[in-house]
Amino acid sequence: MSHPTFGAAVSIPAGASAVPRWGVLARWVTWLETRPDDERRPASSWWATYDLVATMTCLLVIVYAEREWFIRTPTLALGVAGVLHRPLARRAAYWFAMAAVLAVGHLFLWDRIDNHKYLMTYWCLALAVSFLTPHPLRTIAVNARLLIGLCFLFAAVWKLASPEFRDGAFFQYALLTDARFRGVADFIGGVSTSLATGNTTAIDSLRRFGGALDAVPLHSSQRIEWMARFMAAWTILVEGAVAVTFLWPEGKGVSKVRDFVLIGFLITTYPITSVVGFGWLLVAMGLAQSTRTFAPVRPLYVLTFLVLPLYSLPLVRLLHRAVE
Amino acid sequence: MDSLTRAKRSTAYYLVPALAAAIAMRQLYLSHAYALTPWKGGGFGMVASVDQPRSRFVRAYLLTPLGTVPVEADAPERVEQLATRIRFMPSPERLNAFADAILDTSWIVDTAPSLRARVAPWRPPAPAAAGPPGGARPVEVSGVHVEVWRIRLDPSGPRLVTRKLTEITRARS
Repeated sequence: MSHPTFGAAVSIPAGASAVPRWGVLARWVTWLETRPDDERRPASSWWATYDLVATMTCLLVIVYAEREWFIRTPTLALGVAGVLHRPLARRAAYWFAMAAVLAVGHLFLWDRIDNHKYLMTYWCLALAVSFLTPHPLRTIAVNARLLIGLCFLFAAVWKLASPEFRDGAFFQYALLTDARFRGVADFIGGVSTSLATGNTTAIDSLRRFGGALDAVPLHSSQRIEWMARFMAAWTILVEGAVAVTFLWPEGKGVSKVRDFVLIGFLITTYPITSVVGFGWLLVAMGLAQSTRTFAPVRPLYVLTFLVLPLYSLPLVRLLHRAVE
Repeated sequence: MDSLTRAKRSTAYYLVPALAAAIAMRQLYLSHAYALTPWKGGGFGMVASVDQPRSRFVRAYLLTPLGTVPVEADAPERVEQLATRIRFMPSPERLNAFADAILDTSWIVDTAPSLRARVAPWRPPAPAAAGPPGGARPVEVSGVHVEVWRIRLDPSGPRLVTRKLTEITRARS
C-alpha cells in the first residue's frame, strides 16, 4: 500500500527541530524522541516491522480482550479485519475505532479489569494518534517507549512503597496460596501440593462468614521464605531497570540496553506468573520502539512473542515429575 | 501536515503517556482515599500487595429484634454483585448502595440445617407452592451493619491474619 507518510521515519535528521527552550526539561524531551532509524536500511524494512507490531497487537486483542460481549464482539471483528487486510492497520481511523471500543468498554469495568487492559487501550490510542502525524513510526516509537517506561515506573514505585512486598510477604503469600505458583513452591520451596491445598482451605476458613477465626497458620518452609525475598528483590531490580532504561534519554547511557532489560524481564518473570496477554503487549510495544541498539534485538522480541504462550504449560510440575 | 508545529508534535508524542500517568495518579489517590485495591484501576500496582480483591471479604449483619444476625446464605444476585464491587473499592457510595440493597430485601431467619441463626431472603410463595420454610414470616430489620475485611500475611509464623478495612451502619429510613 502506498501510504502518504511512507518512509517518513527515515526522513528527519536527529534533533532537527530541537531548540531547547526550557533548559533541562526541554533537553530531556528532545532526547526522548527516538533517533531516526538507520538510514542504510530501506524504509520498507521499518514498515515491515510495524506490520509485525500491528499483527501482534491484533492477535493480542483477538485472544486477550475482555469477554464481555460489548468489548469482545467488536474487537474480535476489528482484530480479524486488521490481520486479514494489513493496510487497514496503517490507518488512524482503524485504531481510533479499536481504542474507542476498548475505552468505552473498559470504562464500565474500570475497577475490575487488569492493568494491562488499560495499557492495551493506551497502546491502540497511541497507534491512532501516531497515524495523524507525518512521522507515524517515530511517534509510535516514542509513545511505546514512554508507555513502557511509565508502566514500569508506577509498578516499581508501588512495590517499593509496599512494606509487604519489600519484606517478601507478598511472594510468600503467593507461593503458599496461589495455584499459579504451586509448581515452583513444590519443586523449589518444598511445599507439596497437599500442603498448599491445606493453605487454601485455611484461607477459606478465614473468610467463612460467621466464623470466629481471625488468624490461621500456613504451611511453609525456610526455602519459601528465602525464595520470596529473592523474588521481591529481583522484581524491584528488574522493573526499576526497565523504567530507568526506557525513560533515559534516547541513545545515551543505559538507554542502549533497554531492549535486553525488557526481554530479560519477560523471560524471567512470565515462567512463574504467566500473564501472556501482558507479555504479548510488552513485546509488541518493545518491538515498535526498538531502534538500532543491537542487531538481534528484533528477532529476540519475535522469539519472545512465540515463547511466552509456552510458559502457560505446567513446565515446573512436569520437570518435578521427571525428577521424581 | 508537514508543517506540523512543535506543539502538535509534542501532543502526538506525549498525549497518551500523559493520559496513562494521570489515570495512574488517580488510582493512587483512590487507593489511599477509598481503599481501591492496588491491583486494579490502572495504577500498575498489581503484584505489589496481598491486598487483591480475592483477599478481601464482606460481612453484613442485620439489626433485628432477635439481635444482630449475619447475612449468610442465598443473598439475591444484586446484593452479591454489590458485594463484589465493594471488594474492589469500598467507597461510602458503594457501601451505602450495598446496605440499601440488603434493607430492600425481605429476610427470614433460617436455622436449618445448623442451629446457628442465619438469614435467607424471603421470596413470595409461588401460587401452588408453600410459603417460606417453616411458615416463617419476614423478620423486621431496623438496620444493617457492613464490614469489609482484608487478609494480610504475618511473615512470622507464617500466618494469615484479618484486618478490618472499613465499616458502616445504616438504619432503615
